Amino acid sequence: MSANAVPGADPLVVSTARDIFGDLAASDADGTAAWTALRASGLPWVGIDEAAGGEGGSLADAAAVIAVSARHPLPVPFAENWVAARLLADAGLTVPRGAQAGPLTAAVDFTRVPYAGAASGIVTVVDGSLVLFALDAAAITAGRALSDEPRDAVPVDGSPEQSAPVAGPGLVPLGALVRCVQIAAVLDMTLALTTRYAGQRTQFGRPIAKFQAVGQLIAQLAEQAAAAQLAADLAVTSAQSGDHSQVAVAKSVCGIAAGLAARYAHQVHGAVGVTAGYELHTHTRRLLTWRDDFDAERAWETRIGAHVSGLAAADLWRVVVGELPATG
Amino acid sequence: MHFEQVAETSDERDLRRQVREFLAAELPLDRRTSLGMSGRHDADFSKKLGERGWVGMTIPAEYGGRGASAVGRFIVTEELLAAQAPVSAHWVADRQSGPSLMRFGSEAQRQELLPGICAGTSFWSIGMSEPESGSDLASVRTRAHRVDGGWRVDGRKVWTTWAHLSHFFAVLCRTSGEPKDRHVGLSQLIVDLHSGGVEIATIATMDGEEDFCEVVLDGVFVPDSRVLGEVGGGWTQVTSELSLERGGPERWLSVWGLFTAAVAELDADPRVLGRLTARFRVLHEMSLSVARMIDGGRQPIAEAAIAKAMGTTFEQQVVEIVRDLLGREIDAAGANRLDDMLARTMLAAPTFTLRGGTTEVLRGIVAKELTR
Repeated sequence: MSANAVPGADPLVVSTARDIFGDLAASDADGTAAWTALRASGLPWVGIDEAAGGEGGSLADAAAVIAVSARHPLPVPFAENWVAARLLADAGLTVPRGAQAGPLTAAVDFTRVPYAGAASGIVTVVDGSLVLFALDAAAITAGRALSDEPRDAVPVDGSPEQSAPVAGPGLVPLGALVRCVQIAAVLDMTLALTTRYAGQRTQFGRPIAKFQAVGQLIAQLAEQAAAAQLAADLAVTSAQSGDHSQVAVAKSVCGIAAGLAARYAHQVHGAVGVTAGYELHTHTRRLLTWRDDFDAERAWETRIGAHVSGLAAADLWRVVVGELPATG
Repeated sequence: MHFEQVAETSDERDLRRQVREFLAAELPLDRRTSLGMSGRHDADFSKKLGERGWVGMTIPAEYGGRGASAVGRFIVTEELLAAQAPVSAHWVADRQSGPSLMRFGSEAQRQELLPGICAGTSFWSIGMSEPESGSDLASVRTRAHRVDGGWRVDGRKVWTTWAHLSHFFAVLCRTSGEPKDRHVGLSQLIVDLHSGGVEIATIATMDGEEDFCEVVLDGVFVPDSRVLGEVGGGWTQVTSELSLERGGPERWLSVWGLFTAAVAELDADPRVLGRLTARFRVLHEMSLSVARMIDGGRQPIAEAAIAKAMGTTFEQQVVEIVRDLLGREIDAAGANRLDDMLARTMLAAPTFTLRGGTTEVLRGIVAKELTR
């Protein structure tokens, strides 16, 4: 697993995250217990400037921790809390880290808010302004995504607790970047689960992995997982160097990978793969949801296409080799 | 199995600039018509490139190369292919034969054969496939019998690209045992294509090209000094040669000229252009990553196979998408550049996923690696 750590991430941060998330997942902690432990660890604010109330560390560190969180799903909006905190920090605001405070969440509007019922506040963008609204769990209308993650409707009441012009890459690019990191991590788990299953399930006198048709599916799953991981890493390292356009490339590749890999994994698994009691659906349903979050492939590809359709061939080449940004 | 992502250094970016400057001077826009690695055969261009030091770059300087890194070679190759430069003449020598001589050749062979490769004047073909041996390369029937001072080779090689214009090829043949011994008893013998007993015939293909050949070897004498590596070491050598060349940029650049022509001339849905651009970008990163791993001393066999499988199937998708965007029947003999490129790539497209290892075989290798 260490081979798949985000390039440039601090190994100590990664191993701390693995220990804490691993323990929480194994203990089947509920949302409150999980967040209490995470809040105490500081992990939710890795990659957020200390000046804004964060733990410091790089974007690569944050991505590595988010990848770990995707491998050990807990009923808290860990990734969304990070997006919210980063948006606040980028806008020059302070991240609220009250001793009893729940996580923040982040969403593009008030109708499909991840884990609104478990969150103390929502960060979103209204009329071009970054806003933080307090959340009242009693007032939400519960909803669900394909992944079974909560996507709740939240009434818009009163004034925001904080407000500032959006700065930095912004909500949708940051959200998309985080989803790419999460998708890549889950694709890796899906591949591991699928190869393990195919090596153990025997039919016609041998493990199904030995059949060429099954091997082709596994290899195609591996292709998608590899491309997605590389694309997510590219988006993170590029963003660290100031190029926020590569997230468009990554969201296209990761979104495509999510759909194809889910299909290949289910095909290899046969009927047991769709049962509620088997692990596979916990991965594939998140893949199917996350690919649609923070703009699906179509919007990101259109942004790239709108930018490159006006370019001469030489500049189109420079985009492909990373000398020019992928979007305008 | 993992693709490490590392950005290019400023020196590497600089090398790109140098290649572009060279191409601006040496390759006018109207001569940029090759379809990637199956491009035109141009001995003058290869020689100029050799003089510039960009053929056999990874070969040490003492043999005429530059001791460059795999990434350096990758960068030069990418820029040449993106410019649709005519690289065919020196392609195999540069990509496989030279590095094979470095890995397995004797000192005398290196001193004799590498300088010509690095000068861009010695052209090599691949001596592997036979009429009865394609994917199952271990079943080759070309036979070498011991004679005084060397070997007598009898057999037939096929799909030997550009053999009729090449100087040498390294023939995979059986030097001991029987075909049922498969991997055991195979060797690579360097054959001078102008030797007595060598007969070459070109094979026309449906895309209008005629660069495939059949090479008949009828009692061809190969001296001991031209055995490549160990007698009996042929299988290990060949698999080493094949595995590393699979992850290169040639596996997704056959359609670059077609893609840029489509962007320029067709009013395409930006969504479609964006999706293709994103995939090109990641394929670039994949093959760059493979080159870096090779420089790091690794043997990225699974990664190279994945890069080739994804790249070549993508090439075929691009052809289909451009055809869909064009929306009319293609003028295969027309002067229009887009029609010409589309016709040629459409008819060359079946080979993208066949040459250098079929997609099915490659995916089988990946699956085996993952389910060991």
